[in-house]
Amino acid sequence: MRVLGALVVPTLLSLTACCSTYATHDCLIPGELDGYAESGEWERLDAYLADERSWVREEAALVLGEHVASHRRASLERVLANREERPWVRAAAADALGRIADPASLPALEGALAERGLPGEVKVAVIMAACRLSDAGPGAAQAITPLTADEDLLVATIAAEHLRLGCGGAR
Amino acid sequence: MIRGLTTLATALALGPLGGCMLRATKVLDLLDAQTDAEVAESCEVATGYLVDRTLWLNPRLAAARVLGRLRPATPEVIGALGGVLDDTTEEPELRAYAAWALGEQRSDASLARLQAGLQRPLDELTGRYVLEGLAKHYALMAGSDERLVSVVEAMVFFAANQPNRPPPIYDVLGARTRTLPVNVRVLERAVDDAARGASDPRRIAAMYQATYEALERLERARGEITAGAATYTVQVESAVRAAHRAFLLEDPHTQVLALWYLGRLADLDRVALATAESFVGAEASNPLRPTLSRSTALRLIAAWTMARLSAPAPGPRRALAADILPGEVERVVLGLLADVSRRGGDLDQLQKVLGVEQPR
Repeated sequence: MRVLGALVVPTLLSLTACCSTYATHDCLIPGELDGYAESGEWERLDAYLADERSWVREEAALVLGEHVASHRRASLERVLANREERPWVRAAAADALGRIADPASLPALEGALAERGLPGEVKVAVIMAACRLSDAGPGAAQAITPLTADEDLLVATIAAEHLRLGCGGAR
Repeated sequence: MIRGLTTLATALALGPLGGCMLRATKVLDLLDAQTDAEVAESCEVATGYLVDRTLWLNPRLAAARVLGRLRPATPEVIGALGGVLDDTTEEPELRAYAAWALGEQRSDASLARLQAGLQRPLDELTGRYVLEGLAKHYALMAGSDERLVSVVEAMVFFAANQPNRPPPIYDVLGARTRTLPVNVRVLERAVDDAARGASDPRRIAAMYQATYEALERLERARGEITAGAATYTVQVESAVRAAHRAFLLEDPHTQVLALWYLGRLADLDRVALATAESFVGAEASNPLRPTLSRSTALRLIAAWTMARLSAPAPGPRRALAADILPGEVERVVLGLLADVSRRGGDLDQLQKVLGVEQPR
């Protein structure tokens, strides 16, 4: 019996250990956030943008973008502007703003680009987002043009490639 | 006892089904390490997951993501990521993630692993991530010519052994890393490598690619060469000599490419003189000159190239007169010479041939 107990207890522990031991929210599984979007539980998704797990914040931002949640644009812009936020979460917020494609987000994207030391991952996401905004006009192209000389060669390449393809209709 | 057994069986059955033995999301929790000590610990744990082949794919992908984002750049992490990248039996998606994560490390060691990775079989996606990873290391490589040469050498090897055209980042990275001297050194090394392992088609392919890229770079320097920039004299001679060494290894594709490209550049006197000297000699006495080739294709290209080279240098004119005009029977070669003759108007010997062998 003692031997069995030694087997059963760790196995049960492994079942419970699949969720973060320090999460404030309940155990999330991939796809769950998507379900909230489909059922219109936007407040809940908004709350996940402030989850203590960065991957959850990232997923929440991405889901808002995938569902073109234009009424959550302000929340996403706040995430993008937050210099304390992890780069991958900011990049996900930029990506979502690009999918929502509201030209009113251009100032937020420009603001991010003006930030000194902005991580390359965020720059790339902002470039792609700016070029996806509908009717952004030459503003999007103007915003990303300086990045063609970025010290990060990958950022410079992506900026140049987007300009070449007519970012914001600037071909 | 029975209840205990039932519980155990249920747990064992549900565990894997629920994915709870180790979920990717659990691995991603490691991203939220704050202090240096926590980051180090997270990376150690993630490294363990990455190399654990008993795990499902998703937790291992998540582990690569954690290591790429936390960027520890320690020998252990770079070794583990490099090991996955190099291992052709690993899932392609995991290799692609490992390449991306290596790119994020931005250290000398990660640069070396990415460079080595280019010389292994890579699928398209992984190859793209390796090149992007190299681009992220540009600041590290730009300061050293030797490093640039070895990176370009690896890139050339990669491009030569891809079934499709390399991704756009290849050209961008190439535009920053390739100079004529770098390309020439890469070609010299590719020729040495091919000479050592002539039976290895990958090395021959790399030599072909290096020949193309060196001559293409020479063509892009056309403006500077024409303007008479003194530094280009030595560079042109080195490039032509290296192309000739590649020619002598007798790979038919490389031979045709080198000869055709140098013929194309023959309007540049410096290129024409160096080519004539290397390939034919002033007296047309080089026993391995292309006009003596047994291959019709090569003789055809040689005839065209020699005709184009004959204005500034006597050797090619002599080679044409001695090797091709008296005994050439291939109509295609003669027809081409006739065409060149009509356009140039100054090749008397060709005009004589025309009297006998009218082109169609």
